[in-house]
Amino acid sequence: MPILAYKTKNNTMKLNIKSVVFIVTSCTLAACNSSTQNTLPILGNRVAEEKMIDGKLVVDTIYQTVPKFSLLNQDSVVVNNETVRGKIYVADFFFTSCPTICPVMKKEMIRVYEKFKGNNQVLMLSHTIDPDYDTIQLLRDYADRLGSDGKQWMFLCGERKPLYELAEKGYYASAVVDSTEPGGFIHSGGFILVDKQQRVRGIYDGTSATDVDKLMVDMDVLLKEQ
Amino acid sequence: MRVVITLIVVVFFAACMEAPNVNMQQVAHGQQLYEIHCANCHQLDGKGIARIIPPLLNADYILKNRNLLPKIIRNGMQQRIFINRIIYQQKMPNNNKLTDAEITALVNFVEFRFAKSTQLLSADSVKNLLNK
Ligand code: HEC
Repeated sequence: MPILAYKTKNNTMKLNIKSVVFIVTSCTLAACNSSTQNTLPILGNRVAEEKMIDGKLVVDTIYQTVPKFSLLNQDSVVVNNETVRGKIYVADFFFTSCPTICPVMKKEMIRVYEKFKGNNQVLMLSHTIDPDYDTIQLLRDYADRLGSDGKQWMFLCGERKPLYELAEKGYYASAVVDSTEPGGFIHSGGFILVDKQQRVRGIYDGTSATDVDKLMVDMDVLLKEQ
Repeated sequence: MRVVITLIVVVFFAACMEAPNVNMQQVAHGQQLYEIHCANCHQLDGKGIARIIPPLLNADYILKNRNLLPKIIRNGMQQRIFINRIIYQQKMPNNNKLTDAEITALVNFVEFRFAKSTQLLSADSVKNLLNK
């Protein structure tokens, strides 16, 4: 079970009366950076790690990050943790022959793509959970059909087992083969928002336009983070 | 005199717009079914999604293939088809749990709303087309 952990970022403003200029500057900065009250939670487990630095005991919080992965995109290019380093991204899970929620999810992802198109700090990774049927060739066609350039919004495939594990452990998304289900799979319709340090910062319902509106607002918040 | 002519014209048009062939109750039922079984893909406005889901609204394919509609709805389809000059080839799933009456309502809703047709099909002719 992932534990919801709220970021306890440095909310106390340092008061340094030595210089008026400093206060004025920090007030201006605070005014510009309105997202300071608007930080997003960090999802997942966290551990406190105690370290000795200069003879002092320092407690460092280590947050859960997306585990190591290596997948292929629709152009047979390897996509792994290096690809997403320093960028924020939205991940989702789908399959091209999905009769239920996927078309709506794709319609919503088109909106996200249109909004952040050309922003090289933003990626969208759509993972197929049906790698047997969704070949690279088919994903290439699918990407074209959705109007994706194939670089910012990529369609990924990999071996079923590690991919399902990545979905569950990395993104808290479920992906299960179930022949009684229309299309043969159960999967969640979540859009998972990941920050520049590969920590999951939000999960949104990819079939709900209002939830996806919220996602796009939160992406702007994350982009302002260091 | 002019007023009388205008009135006659107005009454005449109103009569046309009533579209005596259209059973609005059935169209309303078709709309409910559409929202449950089709709108996910083809969207409430019938415009489809990008080039993965074809439009129903003003789709030349429907105008040219009216008689196929009942079977498309019941059996789904997957072939390369041209709709308004764009090729589509994703899979549409079947709806084999829908009754003949429900398919009739759906066909008539699609015809009325998206193909702007008032020549709607009777339950009997839908049954015939399904068994063809
Ligand atoms: C899972 C998504 C999906 C659902 C649900 C769905 N369709 Fe389709 N539909 C498609 C796709 C994809 C095609 C194109 C199939 C092809 O290329 O062979 C299509 C094609 C059609 C066509 C012929 C092409 C056109 O656009 O004129 C009609 C008519 C149609 N669908 C009606 C319906 C109706 C009515 C329903 C509800 C009972 C429905 N569909 C449900 C995906 C869907």
